[in-house]
Amino acid sequence: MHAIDIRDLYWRYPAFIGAENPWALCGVNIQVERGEFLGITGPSGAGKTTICKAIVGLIPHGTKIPLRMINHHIKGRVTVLDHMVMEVEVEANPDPQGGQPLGAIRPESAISSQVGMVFQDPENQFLRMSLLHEVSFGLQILKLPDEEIEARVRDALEMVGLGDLWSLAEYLHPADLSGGQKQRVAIASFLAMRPDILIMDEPTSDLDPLGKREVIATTHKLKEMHGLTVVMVEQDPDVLASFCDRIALVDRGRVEAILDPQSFYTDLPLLESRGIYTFEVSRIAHRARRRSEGPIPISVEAAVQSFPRDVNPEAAVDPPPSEKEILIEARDLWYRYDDGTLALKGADLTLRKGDYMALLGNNGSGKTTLAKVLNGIYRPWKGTVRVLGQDVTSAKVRSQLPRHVGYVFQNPDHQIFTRRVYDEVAYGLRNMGMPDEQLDSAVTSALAAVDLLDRQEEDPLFLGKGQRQRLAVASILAMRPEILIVDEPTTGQDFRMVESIVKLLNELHEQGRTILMITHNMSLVADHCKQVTVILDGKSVFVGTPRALFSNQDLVDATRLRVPQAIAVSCAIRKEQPDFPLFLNVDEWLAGLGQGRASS
Amino acid sequence: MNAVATSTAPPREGKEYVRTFLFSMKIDSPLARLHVVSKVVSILSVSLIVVHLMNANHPDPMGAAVLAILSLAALLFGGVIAWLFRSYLLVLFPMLGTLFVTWLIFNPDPGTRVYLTVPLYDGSVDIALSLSLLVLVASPIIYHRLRGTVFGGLLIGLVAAVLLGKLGPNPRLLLAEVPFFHPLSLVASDANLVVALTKVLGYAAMVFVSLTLIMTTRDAEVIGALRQARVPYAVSFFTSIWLRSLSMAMLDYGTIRQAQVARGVDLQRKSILGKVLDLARVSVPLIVAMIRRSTEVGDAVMARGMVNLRIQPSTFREIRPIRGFDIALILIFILLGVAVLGLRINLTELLGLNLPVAS
Repeated sequence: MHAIDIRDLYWRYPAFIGAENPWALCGVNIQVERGEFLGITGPSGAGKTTICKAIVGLIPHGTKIPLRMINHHIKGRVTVLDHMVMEVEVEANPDPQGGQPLGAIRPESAISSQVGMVFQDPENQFLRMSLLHEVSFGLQILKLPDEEIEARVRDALEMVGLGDLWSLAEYLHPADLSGGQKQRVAIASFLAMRPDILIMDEPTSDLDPLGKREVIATTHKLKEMHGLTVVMVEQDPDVLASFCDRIALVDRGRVEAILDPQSFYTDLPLLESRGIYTFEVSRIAHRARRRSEGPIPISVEAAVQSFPRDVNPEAAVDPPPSEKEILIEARDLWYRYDDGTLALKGADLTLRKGDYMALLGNNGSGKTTLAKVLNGIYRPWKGTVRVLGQDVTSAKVRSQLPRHVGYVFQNPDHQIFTRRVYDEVAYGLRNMGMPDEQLDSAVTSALAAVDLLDRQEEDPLFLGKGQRQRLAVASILAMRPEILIVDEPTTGQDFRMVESIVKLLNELHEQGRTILMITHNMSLVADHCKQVTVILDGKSVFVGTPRALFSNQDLVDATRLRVPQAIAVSCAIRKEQPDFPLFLNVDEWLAGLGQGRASS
Repeated sequence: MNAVATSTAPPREGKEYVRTFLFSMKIDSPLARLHVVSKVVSILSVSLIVVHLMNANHPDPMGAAVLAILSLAALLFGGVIAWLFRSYLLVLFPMLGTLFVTWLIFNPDPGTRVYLTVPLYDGSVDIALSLSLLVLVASPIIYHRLRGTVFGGLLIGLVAAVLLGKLGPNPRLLLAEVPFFHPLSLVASDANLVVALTKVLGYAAMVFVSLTLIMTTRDAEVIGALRQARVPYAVSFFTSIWLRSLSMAMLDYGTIRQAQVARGVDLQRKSILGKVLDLARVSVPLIVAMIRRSTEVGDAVMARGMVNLRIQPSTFREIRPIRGFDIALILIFILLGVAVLGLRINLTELLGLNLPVAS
């Protein structure tokens, strides 16, 4: 008996105005065994979330379908734990006028309480006004005794690493939590209900790397203890391969493959053609096939066994430290929010002209707060901050900082102010008072830089998420700031979108722009950034190169950063062979193996 | 620097405040333990008592002063953020001063002794053309042409017009004289001052106690009280969702406004119209964010098992019992109300202070 059985499912989202939507799902067939952990991956817009909603029954029961057009929008059958969630009777409900069958959905309502679903954005699934009641809400609906609710809430918070908030749980508003904490609370609210099936739709996209693994590991432990069936949409191959029994590749509404992790992640031609994240060690082995022995590895351990030791050490050399002029200098910076929260407790940061620096730290460590101080949005509470030699404690200096320090917010939807792509880029320039004769060329060149020139007449709200992110960069870029701060530009994006954003940032850096990037993506740091500043609990604990950071295991452990595979393999080999070079990324490994050139 | 951190600090260390309807209060504030019903009864009682104390024919300035001090103390010790408390006082005192003067102008009761009379308005409006009027109108227009804003020009014009009217040559052509309202004077008499003082203290007490209520009450307390009052769950649930949406909209607004600042919205001085247009532009991302959220919130409600409105979840720690202290507080305020409104006890008279009687 399957826990989940999806047969030949088709689904088209209703379009109440304009042209008809294409099929979002085209004949999906998935069977999940009881107690199985199934991963689903695929590019954005592939239909992954739609499949999850169909399992819970939100599709079709939570969606308005035009009454006479059932067959036109949905076909197939979904069964969960032997209960029919949805089945379309294609021949039912003849049209009173034409006589042709319009179709009917059976049963009429079937959202199962045995299935929990954690959505992508935790902010939008909070329904209560205290942390305690957010987690207890489902249990209150189940009418469990108070003692059991309390015990389960406490356990669930412990499981997601928020046990220390228990004493404040009744008073803490979910909105007061940091991004990562919100995700964990959303997961805890379902874990507390101990459902038979848990559906997770990219639930950890906002978490720091170790936080992400902790949450998934907790879910896995729960699965082992209670026989939970888990379906998880995820982009991160490490998470999928570590915890999933099988992985499904979904693209353009179709399930293209369902394989065990080893088979899935070693089919590199298929994954790369679909724009799916792959393992660094697999890419190294695949591209250096002549020098790597045995099957393509997907784990660090397997790579350590098979990778050769005779490499060119010159491929792992850092450029000399920059002696260029200092653009930003923050010393012993403190910031306190109105609610009394100390977000920065003595942070330091030095950014020189032409730097490409990563600002790292776990969720709630103060990275975004620091960036907002550097952009002039927040006034420092204590300490000194000089941007281009000017003291930002002065309100007059802060008001002019957007001319020099561009800040791209994490969510592109928060920074679209007009209904035309051209006007959106021109908005900042008009605020700067740029004359019309210069404005057109500035807008055009910014749009060209992000490859949106042909979209300049369109409504930005109807662009894809990756395009909206690029538009946000263009809007800041057009203002020609000396320094560009980008806040988690790749969060929740698929591989192709990340590639496109990274390519843009690299081009800007090559043109001489100084970049400060806040990110949780350690591969991005190892691949592209030249300097790193790490913040822990509001205080800077490391300044240096990525190589220096990742070679210090104690520091990496203390700051909860995750070492990318390419580095982890180098580190493992260095334990046996101390003079082995520390390769940072795939390019350096390939150069070291004589298969390519290290990125400069 | 570059040393290994010894431990990972707990998240949100330093968290001292908890979100309330208006800003935040300290988690361990004594008012955080009060039931919302006792807070509402207190504010209603204070308001009713104050209205009685402010009676112009029988004012009780001492009673009003005691209530104002108690209300101020409740706000001060209620655990609200200190700088917010100070900034509210900063706004409140000029407002109360204006109220004091307004009372003296519009209620020229001579009482038994008049200390000061300043005529302000003779009872008719002159329709005239004058040099000062010309300066007043021309100044903002010229200023706008030169600097692109109006406010500075308006200020210069106003000062110049007043100076011309009082000191300089101000040729004037009277077109008409229209009688309107009655003459007004600022009259400071013994009776008038006492009533004005009582009014100011009374309104101050009402403002302080209202601020105390909204600055120390959490939305969750209201929802709990609704459930305790056996209001249908659908009502309290949707009130809760609505309050959550408001809070999300406020957060979105804050982020969007910051994004607008990052796009240089404050780089140049703008006219009032420009500022209004900038504010209107916030609506684009704000509405988009709210529409996207509403769809997802709907899905989340159903996924948590709230598939119909007939469901009655249990009241796990939502209902706060009305404790002995709450009952004592309610009784004190009811007794105070009975004493002042029913028995007409006047603290000023009890203290043996003789007040001038209004004429």
